[in-house]
Amino acid sequence: MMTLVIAGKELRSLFLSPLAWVILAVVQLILAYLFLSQIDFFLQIQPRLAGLEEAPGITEIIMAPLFGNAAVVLLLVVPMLTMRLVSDERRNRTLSLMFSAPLSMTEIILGKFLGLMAFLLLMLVLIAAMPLALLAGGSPDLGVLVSSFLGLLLLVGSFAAIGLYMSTLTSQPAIAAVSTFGVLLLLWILDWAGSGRGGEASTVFGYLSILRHYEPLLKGVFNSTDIVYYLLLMVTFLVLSVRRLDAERLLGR
Amino acid sequence: MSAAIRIRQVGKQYGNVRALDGVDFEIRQGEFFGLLGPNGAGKSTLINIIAGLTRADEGRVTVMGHNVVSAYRRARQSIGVVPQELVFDPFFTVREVLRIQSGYFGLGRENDAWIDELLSELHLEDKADTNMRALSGGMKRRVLIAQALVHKPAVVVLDEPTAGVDIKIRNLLWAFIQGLHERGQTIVLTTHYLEEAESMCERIAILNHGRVVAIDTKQQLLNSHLARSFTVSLTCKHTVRGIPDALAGKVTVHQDNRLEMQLDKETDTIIGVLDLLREAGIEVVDVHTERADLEDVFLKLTYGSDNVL
Repeated sequence: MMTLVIAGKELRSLFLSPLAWVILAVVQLILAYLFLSQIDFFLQIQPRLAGLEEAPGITEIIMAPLFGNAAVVLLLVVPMLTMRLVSDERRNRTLSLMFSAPLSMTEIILGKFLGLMAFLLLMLVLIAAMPLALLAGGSPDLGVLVSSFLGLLLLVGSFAAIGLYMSTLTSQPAIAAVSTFGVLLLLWILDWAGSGRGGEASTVFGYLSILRHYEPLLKGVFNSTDIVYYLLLMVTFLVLSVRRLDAERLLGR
Repeated sequence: MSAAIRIRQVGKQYGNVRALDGVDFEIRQGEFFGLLGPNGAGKSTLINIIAGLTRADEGRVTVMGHNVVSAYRRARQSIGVVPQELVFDPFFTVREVLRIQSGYFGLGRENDAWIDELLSELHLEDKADTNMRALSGGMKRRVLIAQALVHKPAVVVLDEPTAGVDIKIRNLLWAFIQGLHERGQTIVLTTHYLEEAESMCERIAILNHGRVVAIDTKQQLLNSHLARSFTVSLTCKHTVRGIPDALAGKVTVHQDNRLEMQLDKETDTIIGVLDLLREAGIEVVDVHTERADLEDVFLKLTYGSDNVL
């Protein structure tokens, strides 16, 4: 119940700041541009595709790149949304108002996470509306759409959890944003490390890479280990955030 | 009557600094209690421990019988803290801020009537829909007080509530706080304005270097041996020369025709002093006496010596 109060407050404060609106607009603009150029590209190559057996359709040519691009754009955008979550409250010293209320740290962290996720969910729904519009003139694979949407949701959920943790570490939102971006990018390119050489290192880095678990979902391949990977990532960083705030209370700084 | 706040052997260490050391006292229900001490004495640390913002290294604290660590939800339901700094969420209006704070305590729309009452008592009703950013310092302070009271706590802790507000607002706040006290709420106050503590608090604890150096009713503190002296200022007709031996030890200021003496309430009298001076041929034209006030007690206890009671 109290978690929802905090989530509601986070969501409202996001919409009360111009930043969230600007981010929503910019993301939509960029992705709409990429979406339209993919449609253009598809229309150009459509006659040639008609002659092929097992030719890729709008699902592969339009929808998969859209979700792929959305992941990149959100990698850049989520740190800007998570940076304020705790650090700003620490800077304004409003964190003490929350700490002196009968709330557990878990409720505070979960509330903040859920509030942000509600905002991100809205963003994802707007993104998913684009491929859904294809239903008007074609027949995209709805199963792939659902699994891509789920994949993107899990991906941004992990971004948000990592961003939230980074925000608990500092009182400077800019530092939280930059360090979140750094960690996300590192997780993204982690599999480059062992690639080419092969062997065990490559497998381990590949497994840890945040992108490797997203790609199968974009193809409609639903593997529970990918889902578990994202869930574990989220839980880990949420638990770390709770621990971090608890330690702060213990030290009283 | 049982204790509103019970503090038992509380200790807190910050690195090499012993912020609190064996602090042990009780604040009774319905009491107007003052917590005084110089900067860095440990007042804020103690308040943070009571409010649950910091955890004590040793000892335990209960609020209305609820342990602030193990039964933190109940303890925090029973207490409202007005922080020293003007903290505020810049995105919301006054009413939204109060509704959100009320939500943290599990209260919904049913609390709106109380919020309206608080707004009107604190003369904020016409600012209810104004953004926090647009408020003056005095108004923000009043919103913070309303925030601390939004869940109708039994105990209200005010940490320097009048710092940086003008006299008009200060008087309004004091009247409001006095009103709360009359309605039976326990008030804990820290302040730098000693005359305020003197006029309002029933009992006072003085902290210094993380320890309680005195705790008593205001009157007892003033009557204690620490405050049994009083000051006499004398203006004489001519420049004073040859102070009688019996008085020499009591003179604290001697400047041309002005004398200031520190006298003991029990052994000295002003008449006696004047007689001695007349015998020595010193003609006194003006006498002014000053009773010890809380400030003298405070200064003596915190700066005069490091004695610990």
